[in-house]
Amino acid sequence: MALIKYIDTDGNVTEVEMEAGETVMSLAVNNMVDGIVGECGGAQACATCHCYLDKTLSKHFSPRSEMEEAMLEAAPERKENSRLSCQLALHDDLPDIEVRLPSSQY
Amino acid sequence: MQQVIIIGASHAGAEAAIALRTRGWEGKILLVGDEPTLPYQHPPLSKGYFHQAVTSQQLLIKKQALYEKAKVEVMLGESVTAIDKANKTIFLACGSSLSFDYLIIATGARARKLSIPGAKLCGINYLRTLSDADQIISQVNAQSHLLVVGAGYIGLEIAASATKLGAKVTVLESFGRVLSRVTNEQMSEFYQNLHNQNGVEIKLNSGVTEFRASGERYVAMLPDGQELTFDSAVIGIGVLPNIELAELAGLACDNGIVVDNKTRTSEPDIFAIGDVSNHPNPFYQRQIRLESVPNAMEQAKVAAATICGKEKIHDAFPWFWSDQFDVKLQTAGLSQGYDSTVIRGDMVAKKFALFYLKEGKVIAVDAINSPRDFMKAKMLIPTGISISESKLADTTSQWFE
Repeated sequence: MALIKYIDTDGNVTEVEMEAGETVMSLAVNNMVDGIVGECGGAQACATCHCYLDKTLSKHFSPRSEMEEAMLEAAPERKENSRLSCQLALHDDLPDIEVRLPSSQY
Repeated sequence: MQQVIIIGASHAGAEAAIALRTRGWEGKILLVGDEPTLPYQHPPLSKGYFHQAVTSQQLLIKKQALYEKAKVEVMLGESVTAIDKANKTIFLACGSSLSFDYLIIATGARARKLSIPGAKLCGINYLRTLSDADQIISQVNAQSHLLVVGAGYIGLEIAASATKLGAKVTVLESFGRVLSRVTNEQMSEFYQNLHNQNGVEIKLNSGVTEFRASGERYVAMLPDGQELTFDSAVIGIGVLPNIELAELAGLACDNGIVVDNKTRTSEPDIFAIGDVSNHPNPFYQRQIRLESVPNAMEQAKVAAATICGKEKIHDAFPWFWSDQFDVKLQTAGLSQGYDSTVIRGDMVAKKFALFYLKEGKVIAVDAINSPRDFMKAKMLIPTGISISESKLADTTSQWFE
């Protein structure tokens, strides 16, 4: 399957092969990517899996729900392309992607 | 080679094992747990896993492959019987012993048991482990009547999930309101109404004096003499920290294992993290014990960092969440000791925040379907904010600006 590059604020890159059925968050916590915490396990309760997804890639994922939008709005280092990575479901049709991580989750 | 042993394949235990490796521990890491399964998330057991929106595979905190990759040895289905702190050794039920350089105790908590006649009948359950959950869920269906004893978060979440599966649910609570330990009267009333609207029957100032078997079903005897027939029951009347090993080893214990802000116990090379730890909280300026995943994860990182010689203290602000029916509750802070409360938003529309104040300072918030208020409160309360009650209540402008 395709690859995800997790890029932290210092520019360190962790490259992980995608697995269908996982999310960008669950793949990160299973591959020791330090910048994604995922305290609530994907319940959209904590916003500790905040990441930035390039706008050109957003069409591959379902759009932000009202809950995700609200969580992100109050999250530190919020940007236009912010996403909760627990809501980015991985599937077979994805190209290689990269996500950038905020500095506040370490 | 040096070895860290972690007792308890819990959320805290799993997180600590991996955190040790990511923070540079080069020695051995052994994670010992008495359950047969890899560490899994507990919060969904009464929520998504219960009403079958989450699978057991999705519950795993880390996958098998990660433990292998991180060179964490996982010993499952094995209990630790004793800790010898002087000789830095643990003893296992199988008879062998293992030595450690550092020990992390992450033994969590167990359900408080009801001690009344009939409490050990097989339809009377407690929800703590995955196998407890599987047992309970197997008895719940559209034709069954579930009895829940205790209207705390666990009890109410189970009531909501069982209702979703079509079961008839009755909740018995000994106090005069639900969630009495953790919320104010208004919030109790809100949850009581939410459950009533969804068909859950709640009996307050009630309880059970005895359980009896009645054919394939059971009967609960209530204090007022009433008899209630049901198919299975779950008791949710709180938990007790699993401190016995620590106590026996002579570590300081007081409602949990007493630790400092680096998660160190009274013994410098022994740490305690997660639900079992009684730790200092800088904001509330007292020792607290939390039943909380975020706390377990944070303490795991602190213990790992400390063992690896890195400076990190545990000063995280407590927070919790609960999903019941169409209501997401997010709580920041501990409300104990509040002297006034303010409601912001619309309780009928199920979208509001309840602020708890003490001497003019906000000390906690319960946010109902209001993630913005929760997120802001979680960030701002620890800084010691004083906001007027009128500003908190005024929804025409943001309270945090």
